[in-house]
Order: sequence, then C-alpha cells, then structure tokens
Amino acid sequence: MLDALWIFVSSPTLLLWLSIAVPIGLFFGIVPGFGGKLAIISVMPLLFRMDPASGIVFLISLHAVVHTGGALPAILFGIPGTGPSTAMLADGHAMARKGEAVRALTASTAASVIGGVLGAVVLAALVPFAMTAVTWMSYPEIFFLALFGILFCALLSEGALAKGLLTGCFGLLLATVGAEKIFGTHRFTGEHQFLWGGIDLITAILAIYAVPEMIEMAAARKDDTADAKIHQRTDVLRQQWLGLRDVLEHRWLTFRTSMIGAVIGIIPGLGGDVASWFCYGHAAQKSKTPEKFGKGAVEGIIGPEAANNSKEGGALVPTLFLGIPGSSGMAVLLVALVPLGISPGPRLAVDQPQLVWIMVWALAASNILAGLMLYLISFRLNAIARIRAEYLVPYVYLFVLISIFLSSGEWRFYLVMAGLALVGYAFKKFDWPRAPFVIGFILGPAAEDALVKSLGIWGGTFFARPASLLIIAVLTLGFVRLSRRMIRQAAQNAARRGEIR
Amino acid sequence: MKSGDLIISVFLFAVFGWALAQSASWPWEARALPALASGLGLLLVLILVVPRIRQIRLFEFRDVLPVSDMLALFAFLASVASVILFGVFWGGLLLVLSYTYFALGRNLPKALMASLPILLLPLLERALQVQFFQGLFRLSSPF
Repeated sequence: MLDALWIFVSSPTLLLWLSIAVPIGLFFGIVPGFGGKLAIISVMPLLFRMDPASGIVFLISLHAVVHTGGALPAILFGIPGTGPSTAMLADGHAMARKGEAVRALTASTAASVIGGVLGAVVLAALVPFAMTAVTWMSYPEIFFLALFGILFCALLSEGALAKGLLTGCFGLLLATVGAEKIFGTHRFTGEHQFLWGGIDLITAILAIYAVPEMIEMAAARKDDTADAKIHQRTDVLRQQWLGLRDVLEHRWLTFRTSMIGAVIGIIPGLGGDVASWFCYGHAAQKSKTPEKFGKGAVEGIIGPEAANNSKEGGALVPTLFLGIPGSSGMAVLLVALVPLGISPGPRLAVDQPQLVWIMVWALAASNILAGLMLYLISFRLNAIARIRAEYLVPYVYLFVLISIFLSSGEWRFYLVMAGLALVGYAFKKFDWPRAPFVIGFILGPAAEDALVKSLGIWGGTFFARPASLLIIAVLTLGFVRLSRRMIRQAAQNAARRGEIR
Repeated sequence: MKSGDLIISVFLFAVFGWALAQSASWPWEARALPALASGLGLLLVLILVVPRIRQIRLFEFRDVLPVSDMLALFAFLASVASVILFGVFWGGLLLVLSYTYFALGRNLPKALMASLPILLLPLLERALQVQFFQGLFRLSSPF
C-alpha cells in the first residue's frame, strides 16, 4: 500500500497524467450534457500507447472528478452538468439566485472532495477482503457471479425487469459470436472471417452506450443558456469561507452521506442518481429546517455531492474485483481498461496489487486536486459552463470511430457498430435497460469458460460447492423477489386498465 | 404495450430463435452458453409479450420515430458511410462541417471555424504513432 504511494508520488509521469486528467474531467463535468462516459470515450484513443500505471491513473482521475465539475452549471444556471447533479440543483441554484453562488460552489466542492476521499478509503478497506475472497472462488462461482451481475442489474431496472433480463441475454448471446475455444466451432459468423475473433468489446459497448447518447443529443437541441444570469457579490473570499464552514458544521452529514454513497456504489446497477437522491432525502429527513429544502438549503447540496463522489470508490469494488460494472460509467471504464492490458476480475487484486493501490491513491489525489482547482477558479468558470455540449458531439463521435478502428483494426466493425448502435438507440428510446447488456457482453466469455470447465471437471453437480450454494441462494432470493415484483406490477397494470375502462 | 416494445420484442424473438436453431448442431461445449442465453431469452419474450397481446394495436411509424429522430439516424448512418469511404480525416471533416453548419444556423464561416480542430487529427496520429482508418478510397490526410 505504502509502496504504491511512494511509486505514485515519486513518478513525474503519473503526477503529470493526474494533473492532465483532472482538468479534462472537470471540463466534461462542467459542460452540460456530457459526463464520465463521454469523457472516457473521448480520451480512449490516447490509451492505446500508455503503460498500465499511467493509463489507470489517467482514467480513474478523469472519471472521479466529473461529478465535482457537474455541480457548477447546476448551481450557476440551474442546468445539471451530469445526471446525479440534478439532486442538488434546486438548492444550489436557489442559493445562486440569492447571490450566494460562490458559497454554494465551495460547499459543493468541499463535500465532493471529502466524499471522494472517503470513497477511496472504502475501496482501500475492501482490497484485502477481495484478496481473501478470491481464494475460495473457482469456475462454478465465477459462472454464478456472472449470472448474479446480470440478474442484479435487471432487478434494479425499475419497471423493466423482464426487459433488463432480455437485454442481458442478448449481451450474453453476442459475446458467444466467433470461434469457440475448445473445438474452434464458428458460431454466428456466417462467411465473415473478421468475426472469427468475436465482436470487438470496445465496438459493442461504444455502439450500445455512446452512439445512442450522441444521436439523441443531436436530435434534441435545446437552448440551455436562457437562465444564465446570476447575481454575484464581490465578497468571494467571505463566501468561500462560509461554504467551508457549512461543510464543517454539517460534518456528520458529510460523513454519513459519503458512507451511504460508497455502499450504494458497491451495489451493481444503482448508480449516481440513486446515491444523490437517496442522500438528498436523508439530508432533508435529518435537517432541523426541512422547510428550507428546495429554497436554498446548504445541506441539500452537501448530502448529494458527498454521496455523488464517494460512490465512485464503492462502484470500483465490483468493477475491479468481480468484473461487474457498478454503473454505466463503470462499464465504459471497464472497457477502457482493455487497451491498457488490465483484466478486471477476481484475480486482479492478487496478480496486480500495486496497480490496485495506485488506483486508490489516484482516486483520493484526483479529488483533492479537483477541489483545489475549483476552489481557486470557481467564480471564473461561467464561460466553460455556457459551452453547449451538442457542438462537441461530432468530435466525440469521431473519437468513438477512431477508438473502434484502433481496437479492432478492421473497417467492417464500423458496420457492426452501425447495426448495434441502431439496436442501442431503440433500447434507449423505448427505455430498455442497457446496463444488463453490457454486463452480459463483458462477462459472457468468462461465464462460458467457467461453465464449460465446471461441467468438464465436476459434471452436472458443479453447483454443489459451498460458495456456489451461497451464490445460488442469493440468486434464488433475487428470482423470488423478481417474480413477486413482476406479479405485483402486472396486477397494478391490470387495475390501471380497469380504471381506464 | 408500446409499439417500440413490440418492435424490440419481435426483433429479439427472431434473434434468439435463429440462435437456438443454429446452435442445435454444435458440440455441447460450444452450445452451452448460446443455448442457455437464447432459450432464456425466448422464454422471457413470451412472458413479456403474450400476457399483453390483447393490448397491441396498430400503430403509425411516425408515432414510434419522430421526424427529428429519423433525421438524426439518417445523419448517423451517412456519417458511418462517409468515414468508411473517405477515412477518419476526410470523412470526419465532412461530418463535423455538415453538423456544425446546421447546428450553427447554416453559417458557413462559423462552421469552418468550428471544424478547424479536426486539423489536429493528423498530429494526433503522428504523436500516437498509429494509423487511423484511411477509408476505402485511401485518401491520405494533408500533413
């Protein structure tokens, strides 16, 4: 752990990548409409020439600070820079309208920094556990974990449980395209030789996730700058001090919401929106003045912002140690690790412990650096927040195309991308969850390998191992809950139809 | 049931059905996961669609896909075609120029200005020591 810290602070290259990544991450957070996913996609072409340590510092730092920047347009203009910033929008913007924009920004930044650092502490605390847990995991458990990831994501797709499972199955199926490992059977390849190696991971994930986002941004242009006027006082230093004092006064709220955020981050599929809104509710519930919420309560900024950043540390736990992305941003992060030669999964903490600890330090350091940067220049950032994301869409899209070619080396994958992007767009348009698809596609090869080896070694009774039985018990409970909710939903829909008639 | 849900369900039903039929002749090692995924998928489509089959009504294509979405999808497909034909640099220039031209209110000088950053692509190519896709017409970038 301390070795990794020494490597981190004594390496000018790593510090350089950290200091490059933080402003880029803040920029993508500040510009409304972008976010962590598009930030990673935009820098992906650079990763093909990086060494793993530099690449991981760059990626983690970039992704960790996006939400810190997202608070800025929410406070100044009432436009959330990222989805999870919506929770603090009402109170942040109300404070800005009262002339306390810098105070709100400082409180938000300080809460974000503390949340981010506490998220890194949670990640660090779970690294030894991950190293121990890996020793009792074998092929059957890896197979069941893959199923567990898909099921969990589908369970959490509110109102779309069966749809979530369906997209997960579709992801699993697409992951089996190509030559099978044992006999070399060509599956679903037709006469196309370029598909023998399977569908390129980066192509599939960017097509399903990134391209539909950009098509939607291009289709729905809107005027974001209507409410851009705020009243700023000149007493910036006083407001900065007040913002810091707010966080100190509500230190237990900051601590609690950071911990809640980290725990929510660990659960695959919940994501930043849930963490932010849950902690906003918690802050309102515990406040002595709940009537001020929505009208400029500083707790309404501190709670969601701390949770927003701490969730990043929590979300890295399933992403890195199980290979199950905790959120859609983590799914893209997982894909971005491929060009760096890093394979997330149960073996990561054992095989590359130093890299894992470097990630932890990068996560903490990037949050602190982002806080300092925003603290120093927060009241001069109006201009960046006014940039409209849709103008940058063609450039990000171009980076997607470059990444796909660099990753696959085959132009026909552009055709695969076009086809999958249309499917992804339909999923997005009609509210079919895409996270289970990503998990199914990413975990598909590992799940297949584990299933075939388990059947080969243990036969049909491979599931009768203690660890497997534990996972099966959790899966069964999940299925029971799934079916109960589906039945309840069906009953509610039937009752609603009856009311309409 | 929404029209879009029906379209996706039918698409997935066809994909899963085709996959299950294809996998029938493979050895079990190759068949295990595709058969599991497609079998489960087929079952889920049936669970999703069959109880709602009476709710399905005829729909108009415009209800499913508004004109702005259709235009965006057409532009997306055109951009893929232009990059495949002309490569990342020239295809990308065409994409950025046409996009910014319309996004900036059909103002060509502004669109040209907004397209200038694309000149950095060949420099990026050189810095990364990689070759971006040249396109089927093999047009080389200007630097």
